Parts: sequence; C-alpha cells; structure tokens
Amino acid sequence: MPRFAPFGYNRITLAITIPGVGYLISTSQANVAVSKTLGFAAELEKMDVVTTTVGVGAGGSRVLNVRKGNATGTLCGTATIAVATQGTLGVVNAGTITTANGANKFLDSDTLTVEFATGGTTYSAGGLELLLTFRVRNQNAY
Amino acid sequence: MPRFNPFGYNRDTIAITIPSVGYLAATGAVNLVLSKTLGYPCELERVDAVTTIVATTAGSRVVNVRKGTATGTIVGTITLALATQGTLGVVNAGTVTSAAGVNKFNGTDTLTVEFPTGTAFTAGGVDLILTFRILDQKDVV
Repeated sequence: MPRFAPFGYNRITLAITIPGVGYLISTSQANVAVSKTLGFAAELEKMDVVTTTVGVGAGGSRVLNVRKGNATGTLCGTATIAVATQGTLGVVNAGTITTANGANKFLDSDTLTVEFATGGTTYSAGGLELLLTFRVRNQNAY
Repeated sequence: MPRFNPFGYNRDTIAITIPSVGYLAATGAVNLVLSKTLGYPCELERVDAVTTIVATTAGSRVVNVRKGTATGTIVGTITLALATQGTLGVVNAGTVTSAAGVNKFNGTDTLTVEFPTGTAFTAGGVDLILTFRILDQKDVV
C-alpha cells in the first residue's frame, strides 16, 4: 500500500450520479460533465462504476470515457458498462486508467470531461454512480 | 474545529446518491457498494445522510458501512426513518465505530455499503456522504 509521507499525496473522490435516461437508455454521444475546470493539480488514479439501478435490456452496453479537455480531449480513463455486469445492485465495475505520457495528470487549468461514446447498445433501464479518485499534492491557495 | 497542521490530516468525502427503487422502497438486504478497493489508507470519520426526496410512509432502513464484504466489520451505521427523512435537506448523522481502530482502512481493504432487511418507505431519496481522514502518502508504491 502507499506509504505515509509528510509531503506526499492525498486523495479526493469525485462522485457523479448517472441516470438511465439520456445516458444508458441511448446510443448517442452524451456528456455527463463537459469541460469542468478542476482548478488544482491532480492525477486520475481510479475509476469505479457502481450499479445503483439494475441494468435492463438485452445486450445493453455503453462505453464511458473520462477525458482531459473537452469531449474530444485526451482519453485518461474508460469503462465499458454492460447489462451483463450491471445486473446486481452495488456491483463495482473498475475502469482502466491511462498513465502513458502523463495522460492522467491534470494541471490547474486543465478541464475534465466525462462522456458516453457514440454507439453501443441501449439499455431499457439502469443507473450508476461514477466514483473518480484523484491523487493530489498539497498546494498553495494560488 | 481541527487545528491546522502541516503534517496533519486531510479529508475526502465520497457522496453517493441512494435511489428509492431497490433501496428505500424495498425491504430486502441489498448492497449499495460492494467491496470497492480504496487503494490507500484512510479512516472513516463521519457518516451523514441528507434527504433529497421526502420519504413517505413510516418506513425504516438501516445503512451499514463495512470494511470488507457485506458481512465484514461494521464501521459506520445510520438509521433512516420517517422522522428524519420527512423534510428536504435534513442531515441525519450516523455513528462511526472507532474502537480498536475498526474504522481504519489500509491500502488493500475494501469498502461496502449495504442495507440489511427493514421496513420499506413508499418513496424517498438520500445522499449518503462518507467523510474520511487521510495522511499524506507516497505514490502508489
């Protein structure tokens, strides 16, 4: 596990509720959060998707992307959401973080976008809680 | 309030929206989050439930925060009842167990939030806010 260090990292968790309508019940590109300025330096460390409403719909599947920048920005995290893995309340589906070339590192002026990619197969019902964990160093106010 | 300390704790909150269907409007045991790996050491400090949709009928549901699986050690608990869930914005503070350090998570411990069996509301909605305190840490080494 990470060792304690007096000037090391801390963590923050950003939780976003994702309803079925407009996101899972769709095959279109859809932004959950577009170009949110964090305002502080941070690194995306984990991405977990929790089922809060059971997924319904044969073959339902959507790709959820976390990007640095806008909806076409650098991909830094992704998770495939499927009815097959979202069939039980409380299930935690871990996404994949891209660390190559520092893709997961945000400056204070970088923005965060969470979006569903075009395509996939629509659900008929479902709901999620997205939990993004960032590691953060102590910083001055500005 | 806690005093400032350059080598002290920071705080993190995990806020989870709890829908009515499957949770408040149900009686069965159900998981809200099952065995999420936190990946870093921390201590559960507070459990709060905020009413976001007014509850109806005299239901009662308990929310347990556990270290490990749905049968792991209880580290926090809160009871949702009509008296506390009948007004929007009411903050219902739960209880955290700190005896013997049970509220301390290491880098490999998992977090579970679950509802044991209870009495259903006909409607209602809650935001669950978990507050953790964290010491500065090295990278993921």
